[in-house]
Amino acid sequence: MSAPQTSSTVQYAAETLDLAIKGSRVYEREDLVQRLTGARRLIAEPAVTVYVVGEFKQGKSSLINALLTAPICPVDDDIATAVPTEIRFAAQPNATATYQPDESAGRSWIEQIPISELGAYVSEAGNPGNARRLRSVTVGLDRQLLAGGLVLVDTPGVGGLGSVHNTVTVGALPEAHAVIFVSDASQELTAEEVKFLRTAGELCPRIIFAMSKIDLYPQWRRILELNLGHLRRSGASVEPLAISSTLRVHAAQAQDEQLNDESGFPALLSALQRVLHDAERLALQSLANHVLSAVSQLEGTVRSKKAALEHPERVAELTAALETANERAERLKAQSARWQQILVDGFADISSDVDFDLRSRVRVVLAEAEKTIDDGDPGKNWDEFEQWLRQRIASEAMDNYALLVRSAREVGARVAEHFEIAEAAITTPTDGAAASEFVQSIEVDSSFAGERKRMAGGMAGFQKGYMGVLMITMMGTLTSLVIPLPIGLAAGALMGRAGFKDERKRQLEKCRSQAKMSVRRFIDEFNLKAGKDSRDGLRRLQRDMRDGYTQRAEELQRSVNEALKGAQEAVRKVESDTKEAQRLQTDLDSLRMVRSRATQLSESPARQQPEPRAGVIAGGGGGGAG
Amino acid sequence: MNGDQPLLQQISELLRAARRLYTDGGPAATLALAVDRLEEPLRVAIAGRVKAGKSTLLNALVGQDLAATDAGECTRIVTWYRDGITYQLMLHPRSGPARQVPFARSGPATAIDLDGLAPEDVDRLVVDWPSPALRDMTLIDTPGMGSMSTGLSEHTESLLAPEGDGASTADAVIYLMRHMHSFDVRFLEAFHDEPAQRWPMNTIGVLARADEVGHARLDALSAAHRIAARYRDDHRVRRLCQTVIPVAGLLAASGASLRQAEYRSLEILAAGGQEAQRLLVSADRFVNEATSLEVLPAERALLLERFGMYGVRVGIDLIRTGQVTSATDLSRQFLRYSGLDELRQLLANRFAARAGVLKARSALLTLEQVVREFPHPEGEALLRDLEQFRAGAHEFAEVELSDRLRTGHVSVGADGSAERAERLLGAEGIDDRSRLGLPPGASESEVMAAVREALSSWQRRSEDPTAPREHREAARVLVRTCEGILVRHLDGQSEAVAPAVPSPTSSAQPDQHRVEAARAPVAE
Repeated sequence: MSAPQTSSTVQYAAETLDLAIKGSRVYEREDLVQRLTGARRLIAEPAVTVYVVGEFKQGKSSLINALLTAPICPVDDDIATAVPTEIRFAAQPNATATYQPDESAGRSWIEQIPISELGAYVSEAGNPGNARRLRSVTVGLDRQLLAGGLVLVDTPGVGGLGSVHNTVTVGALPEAHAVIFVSDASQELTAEEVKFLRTAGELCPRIIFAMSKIDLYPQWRRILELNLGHLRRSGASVEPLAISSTLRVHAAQAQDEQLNDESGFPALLSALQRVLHDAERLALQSLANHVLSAVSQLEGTVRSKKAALEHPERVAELTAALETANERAERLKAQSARWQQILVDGFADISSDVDFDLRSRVRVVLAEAEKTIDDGDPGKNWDEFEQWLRQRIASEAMDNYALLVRSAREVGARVAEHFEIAEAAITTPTDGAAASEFVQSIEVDSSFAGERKRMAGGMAGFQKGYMGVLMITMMGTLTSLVIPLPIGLAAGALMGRAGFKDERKRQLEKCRSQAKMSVRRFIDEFNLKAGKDSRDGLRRLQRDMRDGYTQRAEELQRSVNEALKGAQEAVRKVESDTKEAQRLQTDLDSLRMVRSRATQLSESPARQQPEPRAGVIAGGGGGGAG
Repeated sequence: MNGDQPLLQQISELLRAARRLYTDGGPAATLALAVDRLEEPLRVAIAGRVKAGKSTLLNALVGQDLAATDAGECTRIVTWYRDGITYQLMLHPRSGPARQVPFARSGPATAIDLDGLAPEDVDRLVVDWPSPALRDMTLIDTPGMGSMSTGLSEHTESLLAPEGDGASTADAVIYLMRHMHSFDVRFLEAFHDEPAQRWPMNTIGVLARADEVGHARLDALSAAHRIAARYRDDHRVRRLCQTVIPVAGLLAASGASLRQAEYRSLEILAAGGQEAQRLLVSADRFVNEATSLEVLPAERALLLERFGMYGVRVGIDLIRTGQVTSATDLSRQFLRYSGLDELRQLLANRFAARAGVLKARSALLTLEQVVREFPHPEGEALLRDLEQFRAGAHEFAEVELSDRLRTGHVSVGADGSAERAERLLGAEGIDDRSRLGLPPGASESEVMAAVREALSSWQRRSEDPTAPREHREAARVLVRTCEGILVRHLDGQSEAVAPAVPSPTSSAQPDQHRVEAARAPVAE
């Protein structure tokens, strides 16, 4: 087991899961066995990812070092972090570098690096402009803080928040459990920062805003207040904290408890603890739901068998009810099922909305670009212009991506809702009061479509990282696309000295129209490729969601079928077999025991810890649930 | 009073000619303003992103707390500070006539009563403030770009864009940047508002709040110097501004007005040993912590507010190590550390000394804009005159060439002579010795030798048939510059001792003009 630290609750959960698997095996439900075995991942490999993001030189690396009270990430006055650095638990300290795939070979490769030489890989001094072509660096440390599965990711602030570089980080946010956004106390948040926080808040529900360097600025309380005002107005929901990494380091050196309090890190640590706790709770809840669902399905079979044995006179009633349920389950699986329609229509709408949104955003950029070209001389500032253009598009693509994630989540929720309604119709037949008792107990896995965790657990199950991949392909497209150099641009630059104003003007006009043409070509190409990328991503997501629900419907049907079969078998054995009845009772008892364990699991952690503070959206994006 | 009289005379003649064509309406008013403007000091705008420390720097340059400063975003209105006979505050609304508004009781550095107008409705405030520091240039404080309050940023951009309302634009710009990554598009954003029209010639870059770069450690400024040096070498920065220097604005502004009581407090803290170190750990501790040292919390808070964490730490360190022994000493050291003197010198060398050219160019732009925007039957002739004027003035040719050299649109050959050419065009100061790369005290014969050598070298280039045409043209401008210097020194009107900062009354320029006028027909 790679989890370095296993709490007793987790141990308990693992045992409960084993019991449920054993039970499923006895009843030859491989489908349930498979699902439950898969669910083990939820607690076996906890990874609670927290991204540390922010502008250049706000103290992101310092914050991580201060959290760990060890100089892991290189820090310098001028030189910045160039490569995302992932810090996770490892019994043996180690570091690995993941390289970007070769353009030809297409596969990324990994290399072990000495921890002491981290700077040569992740900082700009050793790796200027990421010349080593690293994708990320992973550092394993045996720190207590990381032992609970916490993974801290230091991101480069290079290029600004809206840059192509940074947008790739943003792509990963839907899978992150929390984001620590760092901005220093030297000034209020800028418009870009607030915009970023808003978008990030849509992608990852838990944003911790850490205002750094409070040891330097006597006015930091004012600044914090101003920032909260900006955030309130923009509607971004964040947990604000004020911290000083320097003070934390001093405090650690001097073993000064009070100074440590002043550094603001205890508050940050407890915020992280909450993140960890929520993630664990979510994982346990999902696990418990899987177990409960499996147990219910098994119970349904056992009970109907037992009922048919004990009350042969009511078998007809029971079979009829089960047959109706079976028909309904069949219909739920069919393509004409309501949830299927909602899924298909919903995704068609998303696809069209997202495409339209991207196009209209890009059109605005195009208009801006053309105005810039008209106002200036494209010959003089083409390089910067190109950089600007890419950045503008990247920033719009980020918002577009947020729309995509949001809409997909909404459709997922709607589908879940309708699936539940249909499911309720199956499990609550109107006639046959006695029969309904058994059928009712056949539940669909509510971790999948459950009311409470629909947003967090449910969707995260589907996303499976496609979202992040989608963003990365889109940004890849953006960087790989060449903006054609306007023809005659070089010549235009030389024409500057030509004496006659008219001639110069003609040249400039020509240059401008060529520049516009190449911008248009670039944007067309981008629209085409990005549109395709996003449609592909959505299609994959839709297919996954459909497969997931179909599987659940099949499971449901199978359970109903098993119950039906059990009842019919029981009828055939005319004489009541007391031994069989006893055996069934024993099974029911063990199942009830597993059920009570699972119920306890899904409820107990919630009692231990109060809900996070009001105003903060709970749930952490689902600890790799599903 | 300026050295560029002929240039200014010519442009004002052109302006007069234009005013005869446009007798009423908007264009007439614009032209009238342009004429007035020629008489006024150079307009230098202090621009930059929000919270870069623009107002603080302005206060440091003037040596008085004129502009309000605050931890939050503060400057919301474009505010002009100009030398005046009396203290006066004029409010120019977006629409309607300007009106005088009263100063708040404690001076201009507090909230100004906007007479019921919202900041968005105010075009600008003009503060008349008798001060020797404002005699040579009018300083314009601007709201920061990238502000959370939209609208304010745009306002600033129109001020900096030379194509905007010609009458209200700045002649030169001090651009403040915070420490930012060179990959950052916004790194150059502010210059970008009008990329094609921006001349590096009239822009100086300042790495602002330099003391905060190194986390207010004692060696913070050396990090700032390193960063500024890197910016200077960045080819994109080179083509946008002449140079980049680090300035710690807060230290500069407060350092100049260091009070004896403040020095006393710092002295006590310097003698405080461990106890003082305990306070210096953080801003909160410095202000709030109980201590046996006899500096009251309120005094400490004020020290921190005025000098920042860096200023306090450095001040204490300087006193403790005995490097300064009096308030005057410390004030001087603060100013030296802050980089303000260097900035002042740059302003004098690069802006004030070229005020005539910069102003003439602003006027020329206004004029061209008016003629183009309001076509007049006789406008064609005027435009032709303007073109002729532009082509004929050697100062313009010099400025233009040096801009084009910096932007990399023109070269003078591959052998690193671009640097020499830029220097000759006045990149390091427009007095003759600076142009020739000689020390200020160089003797007359050294000047003669250097100029002869430069002249013959550029002459060879200008006549080299194998060189590209642009090289030859550039070399021709440089030849004229050399000839100008040569003639000045042949005439015996040489500056006996070249001042580090050329005095504005230098008679060098008119002479150069006379000589050029005489040889102009021969050249073509």
